[in-house]
Amino acid sequence: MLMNDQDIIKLYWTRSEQAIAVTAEKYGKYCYSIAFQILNDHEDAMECVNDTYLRAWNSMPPNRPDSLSAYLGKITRNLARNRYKLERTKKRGGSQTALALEELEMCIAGGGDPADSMEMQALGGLINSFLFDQTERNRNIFLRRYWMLSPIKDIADFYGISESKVKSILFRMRKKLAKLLKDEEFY
Amino acid sequence: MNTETLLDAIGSVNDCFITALSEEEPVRRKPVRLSRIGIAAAACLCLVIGAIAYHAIKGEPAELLFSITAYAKGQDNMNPLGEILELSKPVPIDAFFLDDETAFFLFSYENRDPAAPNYSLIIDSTRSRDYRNYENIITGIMTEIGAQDNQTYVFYYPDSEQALPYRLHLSLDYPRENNALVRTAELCITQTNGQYYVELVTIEKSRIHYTDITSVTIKDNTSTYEIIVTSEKSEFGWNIDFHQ
Repeated sequence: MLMNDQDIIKLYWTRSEQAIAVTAEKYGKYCYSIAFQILNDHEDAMECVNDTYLRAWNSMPPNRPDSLSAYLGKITRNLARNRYKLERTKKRGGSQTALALEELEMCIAGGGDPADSMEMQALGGLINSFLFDQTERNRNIFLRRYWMLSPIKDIADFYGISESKVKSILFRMRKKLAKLLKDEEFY
Repeated sequence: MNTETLLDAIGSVNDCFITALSEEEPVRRKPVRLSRIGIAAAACLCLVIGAIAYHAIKGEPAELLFSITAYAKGQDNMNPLGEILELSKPVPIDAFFLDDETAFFLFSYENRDPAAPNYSLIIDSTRSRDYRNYENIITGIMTEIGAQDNQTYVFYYPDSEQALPYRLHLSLDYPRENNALVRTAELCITQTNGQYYVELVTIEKSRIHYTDITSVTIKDNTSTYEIIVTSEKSEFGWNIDFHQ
């Protein structure tokens, strides 16, 4: 029986080293999956997951997340993305990140980057708003692709639908997002 | 803004989305999804669609004038594989699905007749129904020939209301030398052990009436074709990958 999230967070707050073990037991595969999709390398993904545990250990306390899965997932994704950016100079190809970046190109049209964190925050808010307006399944498909960076085949298998259908849904959502970004003058 | 920025911004989405994502359970694929629209399970599902094949038309020149291609999903389930239909030769096909689970069969039609104008019409001629009242069901499309390798893509939506076996006549009609040249043909779709097969059954010249006109625009977006179908009441589209 896996420990519930609030009990795990208590272990962090009481500085019990068991916190890492139970986190790994419950969320190890989940974090590894996120890291691997981004990095496409077992060793790097494992290191990233271990760094996630360390980051969680160092940040709880003071943090007490409402959702441990989201908290750990975001840490893993950020760590993996940072590592990916470093590794990219070595031209290590084949990851889902490269494919996802290619797909998202249709949503932007060059121009300047958001100048500061305020603009990045506004962009994040816009994406949240966009996702709120989607059906739950479409939103999850979008996030599996562009948040978890899951391969399209995995997404299709997960929902029991064809890969063509997943591609179709993503294509239409990217078009909507592109229009929204344009309307809001993000490009 | 570049794609890296966008991908990073997506990383900061609301926690509730991520939580919902991590708690989501995988869905098992239903063994026979077409049963949802009432067309599966039966031993034989007959569908009659118009098709033209040069060698099947008596008295026509020997050169290839028309061909119709049926599409199956292909090994990777992403790039439909087309096969040109011949008389009495069953060819495997697959059902494709829209977001709302509506199933359709995908065909394409090629007109190589030099006398043909820049348009043609393929319609279901068996039913007198006015399809303009059906926002999501279009059984015939009109389009310009030559948009993509002379292929005109045809989406056929089986009608769940009609009793099996389901029969449909399809025609192709275009003016030629001041006379309307009309050809009709039948396609029969059957199902064996869960696999659909389509067979060109008959093909002939005749004159028929049609009731529906719907336009289709095919845009080349690198490897993906965006297909927008427009009827009087609505517009909807798909993006489908094809082998070039």
